[in-house]
Amino acid sequence: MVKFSKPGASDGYEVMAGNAIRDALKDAAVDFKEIEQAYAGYVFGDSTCGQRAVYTAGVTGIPVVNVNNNCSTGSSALFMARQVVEGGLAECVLAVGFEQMEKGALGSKFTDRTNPLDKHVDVMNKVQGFNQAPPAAQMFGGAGREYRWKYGTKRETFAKIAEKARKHASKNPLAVFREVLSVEQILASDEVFDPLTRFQCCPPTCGAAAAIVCSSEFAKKKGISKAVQIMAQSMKTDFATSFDNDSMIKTCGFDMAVAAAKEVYEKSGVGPKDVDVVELHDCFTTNELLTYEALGLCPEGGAEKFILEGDNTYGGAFVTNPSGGLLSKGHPLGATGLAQCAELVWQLRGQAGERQVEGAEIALQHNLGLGGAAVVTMYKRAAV
Amino acid sequence: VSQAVAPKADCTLELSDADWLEMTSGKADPQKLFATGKLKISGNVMASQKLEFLKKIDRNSVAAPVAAAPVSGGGATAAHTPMAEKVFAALTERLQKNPQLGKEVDAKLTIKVKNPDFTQTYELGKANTTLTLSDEDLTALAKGQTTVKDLYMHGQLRVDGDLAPLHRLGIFNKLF
Repeated sequence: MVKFSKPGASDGYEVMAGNAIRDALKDAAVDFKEIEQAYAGYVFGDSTCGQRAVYTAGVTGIPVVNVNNNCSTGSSALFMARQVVEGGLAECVLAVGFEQMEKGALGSKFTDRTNPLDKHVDVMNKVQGFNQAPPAAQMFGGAGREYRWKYGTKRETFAKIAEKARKHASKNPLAVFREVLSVEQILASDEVFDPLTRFQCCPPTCGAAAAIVCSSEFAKKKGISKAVQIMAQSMKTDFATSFDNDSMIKTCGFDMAVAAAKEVYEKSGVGPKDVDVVELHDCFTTNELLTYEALGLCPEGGAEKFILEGDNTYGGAFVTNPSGGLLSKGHPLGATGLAQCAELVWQLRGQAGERQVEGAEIALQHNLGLGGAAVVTMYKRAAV
Repeated sequence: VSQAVAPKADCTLELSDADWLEMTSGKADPQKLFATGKLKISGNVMASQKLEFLKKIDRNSVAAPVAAAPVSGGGATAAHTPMAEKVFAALTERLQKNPQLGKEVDAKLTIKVKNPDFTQTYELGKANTTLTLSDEDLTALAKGQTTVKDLYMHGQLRVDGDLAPLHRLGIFNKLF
């Protein structure tokens, strides 16, 4: 992946993507000519940006498919690449994600047609109304409100997640926000949507990341060392519970994440207890907290205890978001899912430098987009 | 209609007269109208997310015919008479008459009322809970026109400290 940057300070999307692709090829010691297909993810951009991005690294006539799945776009591209290789249709495939974002909160680009999130917004209107805060913050902030109502979680507990994210990011040279912040500073930042303050919301970010997905036969044939294996992967979209429960937690994808995680645990044969390191979708601190429970890292209602006991960081039960997560590394929508993948690959290979999770053998990834899709992936070190 | 005085008219809303009346009388939600295509927005779309004010237009001024001459001093919202002191007097009386109610709350409640500002504290237990809400919302709560949960979910009731006592605030029910 390329170093993430603030809007307006990055290279063009095709330059960032080209750099990420070349880095991935070099890392895998694979030539672009060996890539049989490419899945290119981005949210904001005209049609076929995927081709333009891939062409920066090679123009070989291969199928290039553009992937768009909101904030889970990157892992959706990875999902497509993994399917085609697992299904035996190709041996070596590229998944790339990139985003060149504008400043400011996410908004709708097309106002002359049905808003794809209208069903989600309907629930929100009913439960908590609609105000001038950024819509995504209202959705995930509302889920946090509902959680607090149910379990009495203190405002400070959410801030502790942002504090941890900054601490982790301070060790990641590729992150955007590397300055360590205290819980007090986080709580004192501007209120965006109670209980969320500014430092508890991920920033609009520009960046790109890429992965080469190949069969184990291909890896063996090419003598690829330090490979990482996808043990299992699952994508789920909304269930009826997202819309008929008057629950912001469910509307924000809780049940999608639960179902995807369940499938991954079943397919991979490893449970949450076996996981060493996790990259999960912390677009807002409230969603990181909810995701601990959705992934079964702690029991439902147990997230506050989990956080206060330090089970989400070094020395605890799991290290969640060693990269700094979306909160601190940044969230270029199309790139995020593949940047999470890159971080976990480095962790499993022992290449994560100062932020290395000691002895990491099994890694879990969770990437979520409203609209919606949740992609959960389990990785382990491959014995090639 | 072109009565708006804005620094820069860069957000244009198009909708039917009927929908406009529905929206400004609070029956239809701007976001929903937008989502269903009944409200078209051009120009600065982000500004359209700040349309809450359109829902607060006084019913009477909405009902007035559009052709009528602009009325001066119509008052956008009905004036609210501060009630916090009366609410707390009634609550204090209730708690004195029935101490068991206070024991059920089991928390030190600090209630910060805004607009106008007024703070009241009740020592009803060890847990520390601070509630912040407007005088108007406190009044509505005391009158039984809204619930603690509804105010909280809509962001009109801010809670700091221990949240558990939030579920035990029946003491405000029908104070008037």
